[in-house]
Amino acid sequence: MGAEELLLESGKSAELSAAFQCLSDCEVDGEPKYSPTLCREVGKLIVCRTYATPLMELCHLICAAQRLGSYEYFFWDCGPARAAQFQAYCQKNHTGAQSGLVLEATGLRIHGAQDTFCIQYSRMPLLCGLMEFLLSSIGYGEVDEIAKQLQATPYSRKSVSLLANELSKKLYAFLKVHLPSAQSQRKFRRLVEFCQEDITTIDDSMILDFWCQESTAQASLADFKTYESVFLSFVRLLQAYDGARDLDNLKKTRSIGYDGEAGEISPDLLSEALESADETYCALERLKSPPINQVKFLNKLELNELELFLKSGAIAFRLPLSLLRAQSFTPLQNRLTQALRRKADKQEIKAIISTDDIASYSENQIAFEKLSHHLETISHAAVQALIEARCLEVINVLMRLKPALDLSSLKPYLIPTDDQDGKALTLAPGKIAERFLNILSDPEQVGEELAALMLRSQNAYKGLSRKGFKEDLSEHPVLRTAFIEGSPLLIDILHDIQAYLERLDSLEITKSCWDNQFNSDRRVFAGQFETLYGAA
Amino acid sequence: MTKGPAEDIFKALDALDHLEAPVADNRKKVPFQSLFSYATDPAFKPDESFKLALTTDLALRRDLKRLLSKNLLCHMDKRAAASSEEITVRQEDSFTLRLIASQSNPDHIYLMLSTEDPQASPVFLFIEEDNGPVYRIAIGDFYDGDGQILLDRQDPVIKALQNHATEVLIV
Repeated sequence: MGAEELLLESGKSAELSAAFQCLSDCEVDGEPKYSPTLCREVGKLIVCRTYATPLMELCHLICAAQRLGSYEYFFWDCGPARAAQFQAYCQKNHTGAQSGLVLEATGLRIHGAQDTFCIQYSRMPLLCGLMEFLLSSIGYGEVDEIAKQLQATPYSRKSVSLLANELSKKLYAFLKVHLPSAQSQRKFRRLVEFCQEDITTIDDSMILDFWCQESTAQASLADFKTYESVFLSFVRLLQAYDGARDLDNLKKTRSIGYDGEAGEISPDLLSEALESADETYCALERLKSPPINQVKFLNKLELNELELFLKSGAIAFRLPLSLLRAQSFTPLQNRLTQALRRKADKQEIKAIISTDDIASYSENQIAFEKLSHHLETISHAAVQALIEARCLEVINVLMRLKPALDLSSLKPYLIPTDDQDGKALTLAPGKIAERFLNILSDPEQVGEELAALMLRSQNAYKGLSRKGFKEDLSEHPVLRTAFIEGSPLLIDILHDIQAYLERLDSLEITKSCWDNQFNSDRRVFAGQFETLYGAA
Repeated sequence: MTKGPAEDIFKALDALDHLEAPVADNRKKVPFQSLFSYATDPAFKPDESFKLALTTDLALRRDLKRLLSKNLLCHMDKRAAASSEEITVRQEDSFTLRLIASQSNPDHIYLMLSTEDPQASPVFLFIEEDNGPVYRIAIGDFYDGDGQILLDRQDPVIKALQNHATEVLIV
């Protein structure tokens, strides 16, 4: 593929990214209209092409919204895209005079002469996000014409389905041009070719070799210019193979409707595979989304520091040094590309390449340790916040935080189940659990270990002044939910970082110590940057 | 054995990464939410990038007109340039728009809007200059079919209204 074609193709995919970014850029009343989690959901519908059913739901919703007044007001005059906002909008605008429209406890039901359809309030935020994407991709004019036809045609499932299909075809045509599948295919094939079709051979040194070779190759793909993008491409490759292996295992146990040999995956299975591959990164997005973002568990800097680690997921343990390399050298390569954009001269490029302002591997490990320490403090503080709010969910959080905690001293406060051997124990709701909360800090009753954990939690809570940690959770149900949903995520991230640091400790590095390894790698990166950016 | 499905999953993951890749400022699109707020909310303050997009992006201007057409009270189309004189009065349907110089201060001009329709309660004037910017004027006080806005004589809105090749949309 020639440079011109490559440029043309990247332009097409940039058009798609720009359309999609409208969602994350969209603000209303000074806050994001769509949460990162919601944006990701819309993204998955698009790349897995599982949008047919949501588009059908959306068309039903457009019909219902038009009966309430106007679909534009319904989607864009309701504030941030949340179920409660849409429910409130429906309640406010439903006068009872609108024929064939009924407000139900969980959704909005539309009636036709023969058919009826209920759109759940909980689905409306996603449908609104999909609508925003449609307008920024295929255009308001096209969507509005469909909306007009929906309004002009007597409501029935069949008529809605026909127009939803039309919308689906328009989106398909847009994605056919703009979704960079040929580019992704070339990337995949180049990576597989490099490891000679054996992904088990992929290791840290192979990734560095690949970058050194591909970033300066004449017919290099744009995605292989930076070390970070090469590293993440390998992460994606390994995640894809893990996902494919899981599908194969599933196929052995049940019929899942795909032909592994022919490489055919149904869109729904593809969506599932994507979800499991992206599990850790989704945790980060959930932390940035309501309701969890109502508590400042992590600030912007801490979230940024975690991003690459969480994007790597479980692959970070397979490629520990590659992640450290990306952590250390990505900021430097970013500075170089920025300097080139503003047409910096050779001298400046050389100065950037030889700068000392770069975090070494040891410094990056210290940064991870600090993050781990902070997450530990935050998790303990969250335990105390939940106890103060008398949230029984704290028990699950405690068990997640310290899985090896000796809870035998709590036996008198637990009720045996009716298991025949009488060994299994379970916590009873209500009074017993309430008693449990009351005695948690008493070493005589719960033992030294648990009492010490509670003391640490109290101190952590007292020492934190971040948003959400000083409010009374019993008066703020959203904050309460944020703590209940956010604490397990934080603890999982904490355990992942601790495991990663242990992995680094046990790693046999070729240059005997981290500083030697860093200095050796630095020479390799400096040489590559000089070739790549014309400073040689 | 798993290469085919792995390729499918890789392509989807890669596409998702592309979708979320940062977009250069000059390629960014205006979210429909901003356009809607601009068209309906007097408190909405458009930023510079929005104003620039509205001047340069024809599709965005078309979308704005389509959106405004849904609540349109009056559309005063471009005028044929029969004379070189500046326009001071525009009339369409039941609406009249006049530019009247202030007697107390010659640097000021009153933009007077009146209607014979007692039910009409306009919120905005959208003034679209041919190949030029779009201006939005919020009509704060409109009573008994009359409203007026005081503007500086040099205000670009006045220049645009005096121009034959300007459309006015009242919503």
